[in-house]
Amino acid sequence: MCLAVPAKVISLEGEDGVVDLGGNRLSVRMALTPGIRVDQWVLVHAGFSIAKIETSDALETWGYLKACYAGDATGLDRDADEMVASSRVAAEGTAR
Amino acid sequence: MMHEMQKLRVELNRRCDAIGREIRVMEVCGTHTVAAFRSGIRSMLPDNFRLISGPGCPVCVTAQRYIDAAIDLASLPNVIVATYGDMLRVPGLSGSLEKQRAKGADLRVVTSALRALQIARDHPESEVVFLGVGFETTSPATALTILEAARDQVPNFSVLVSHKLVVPAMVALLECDDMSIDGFLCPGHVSVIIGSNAYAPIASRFGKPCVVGGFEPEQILKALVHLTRQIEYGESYVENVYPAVVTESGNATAMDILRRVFVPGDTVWRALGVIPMSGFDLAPEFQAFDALRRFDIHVGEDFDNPSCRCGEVILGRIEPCECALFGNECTPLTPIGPCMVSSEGTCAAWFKYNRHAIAMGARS
Amino acid sequence: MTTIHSLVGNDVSRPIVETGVERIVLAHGGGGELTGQLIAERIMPALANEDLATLDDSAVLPWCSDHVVFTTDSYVVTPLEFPGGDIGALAVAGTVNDLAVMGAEPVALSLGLIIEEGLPLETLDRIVASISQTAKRAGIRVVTGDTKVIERRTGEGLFVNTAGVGRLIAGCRMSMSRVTPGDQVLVSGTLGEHGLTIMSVRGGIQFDTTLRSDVTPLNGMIRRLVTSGAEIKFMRDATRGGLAGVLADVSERSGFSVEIEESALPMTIGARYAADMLGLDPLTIANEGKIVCVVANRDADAVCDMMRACAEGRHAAIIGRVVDSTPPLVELKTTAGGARIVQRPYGEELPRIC
Ligand code: SF4
Repeated sequence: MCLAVPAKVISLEGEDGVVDLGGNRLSVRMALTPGIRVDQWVLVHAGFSIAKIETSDALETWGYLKACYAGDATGLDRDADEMVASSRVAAEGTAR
Repeated sequence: MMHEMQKLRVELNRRCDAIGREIRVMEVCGTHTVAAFRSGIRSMLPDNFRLISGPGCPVCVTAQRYIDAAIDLASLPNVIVATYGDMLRVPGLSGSLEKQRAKGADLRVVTSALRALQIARDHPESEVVFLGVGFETTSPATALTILEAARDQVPNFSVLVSHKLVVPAMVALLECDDMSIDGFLCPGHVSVIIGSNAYAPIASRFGKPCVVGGFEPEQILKALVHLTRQIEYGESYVENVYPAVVTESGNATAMDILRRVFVPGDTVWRALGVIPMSGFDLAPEFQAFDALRRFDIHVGEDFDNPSCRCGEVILGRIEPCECALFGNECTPLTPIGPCMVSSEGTCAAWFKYNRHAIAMGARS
Repeated sequence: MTTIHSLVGNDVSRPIVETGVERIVLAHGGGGELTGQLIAERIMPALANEDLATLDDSAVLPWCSDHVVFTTDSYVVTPLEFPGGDIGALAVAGTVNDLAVMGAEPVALSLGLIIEEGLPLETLDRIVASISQTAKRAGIRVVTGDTKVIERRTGEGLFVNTAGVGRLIAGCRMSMSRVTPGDQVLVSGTLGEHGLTIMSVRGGIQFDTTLRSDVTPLNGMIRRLVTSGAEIKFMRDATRGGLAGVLADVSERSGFSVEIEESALPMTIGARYAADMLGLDPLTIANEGKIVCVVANRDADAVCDMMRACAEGRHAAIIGRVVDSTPPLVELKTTAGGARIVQRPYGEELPRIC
């Protein structure tokens, strides 16, 4: 009844954090997982982290999702990284 | 990974064969309903294994009177209603929020209660009402947002509270005499908050196996295997096969916050009626944030379409296709009952992923 | 409208019959079932003719010895500018792609701008520049246009309509009626990026993402495909309604089923995760630079290679096949080893928490 996704904590400022899910970055309120630190993994639901995840478990879920689509086979990961780079450049270029 | 899936399938088949009779397992959680369809798990279950969808879709079980109240709020001048996208199409008595928006209501879809609070801060000239729906996974988010609104004294923010509790609903289901359920696939993310121990009374008092499972295909299958094992050996206890995020006692911080902001109360569930102590009311000190009080909205009655059999669907008594309206008058385009409107409602999931199941079965 | 047949409970203080006007809801524009219904019930009856009735992406009209291909489309996206593109690029690429997937060489575009009072001129300038740039990339010119200004509502509004004409490439006739069992189904690249990017910049939903819209004119790549001699039977850009929408059309209108493999669907990790995060099915999310092709079995590999040789098609993949089974539907073989039906989405796709 509740979608929740595993994500890695990228930065923390008090109870506000930013998490990363495959290049998507989300502001998340960390109040429900006190003591969480950068580089740890959390389960995110409706803009809140609701649990800390042991890294190996998170990576397992991540790995599974990865296998779901043909990313590995067609070298998408590398290209996705390229796209990341080029969109960052583009974003910086348009920032006024 | 595929190897593991294969092993689980073989074990599930073997145990179901050993049990022989029909096995009825209820997945309480709507996200399990959708995940089981989406990943194709449903299509690989043994013939005598029935996966019944329970009352675990917060949209489906939200009483119509609540939707009506939300629509009434949305039609007030200078009120912005902020809601999770899930609620937009749920039919009330006089249309839905989506239709109300077409009539000019200011409706904002948000992905977090905090965004609703932010809208209130950004629009001090308007009143912002957040629709607080969902089970224990979601209610801490509402609770924290209310705490923050109280701390920062945001005067134009309020919440229409319709949060629900899972365990009382499971107990209510089990107390119906004609409920024949062999075990529960318990909601993984609710359990993150309430902890797997919360199901202990169900296992001990009612003798039903309870297994907490995750939402990836392999995790679901694993939970089903553990359930059939308990059923095969005639046992009933709580098992947690989602230990990555679920503990026995749950998230203590979240539970504390829930106890601070809410008090349990009797609540109406669509199609199930009033279930004692199955919902949340705002604690006295936070009642200033209650949208119903603030706007003096009268909560009406429920007028369910008598041909809609959602209640029986939610109770697992019938499958959606046994409802005469299913796929005819009642489709996701023209939902009659709430089970069709929510994308994780049982009827909608059937319509979306399984409408031709019979035809497909004939094909293979 | 809905009549509630009887009452449960005794309180009759509320009206029990809903009266009043039926209104357009946003979902009518989502490209799903509801859009189909609107067109079939309210637009086609009044305007029907045999060219319109095919509901293809463009109409093919006889013109001297050539065939002229003609299409129109309107663009109402908000926000006007988003990572990877803007409404101007969409309006040009969208119409160019609608012509191209019919097997036409785009010749000229019209441009209608409906501008809201209050739109910053510099926004307009950027969008017009983007229109010009995209048109250049597609090798097409805007030859006629119109501008209207409407009263201020949000002060940020701009709507664009583009119509396009093209010349049918000799010997090219895309048609659903040529689709037969055994044909292979291809997609020209990764799925869902446009729709997810738009979501990421919408109020109430926003998140930072490395995703960007895939909007791009595809006529260059498509020209190579259709002039290669490969037997391409049907082609469509997978815009609103996503891959699911196109495939549902293929199965409904050809009368055959389509079987696709989840493990073959090209998708970036970023899109996969964004879809998960928002509770959306990637198959139903809009693309603006991807085509779905139905190709005769023997030519499928060659067409896939030709796509991959183009930048716009470098992640092309064969994702499934047309099969003879009734009723006609789209079936997805899941990575987990199961199967499920894929249907056209309802309408506006909304992020969910459940
Ligand atoms: S098919 Fe429609 S009318 Fe029938 S039970 Fe489901 S929601 Fe109710």
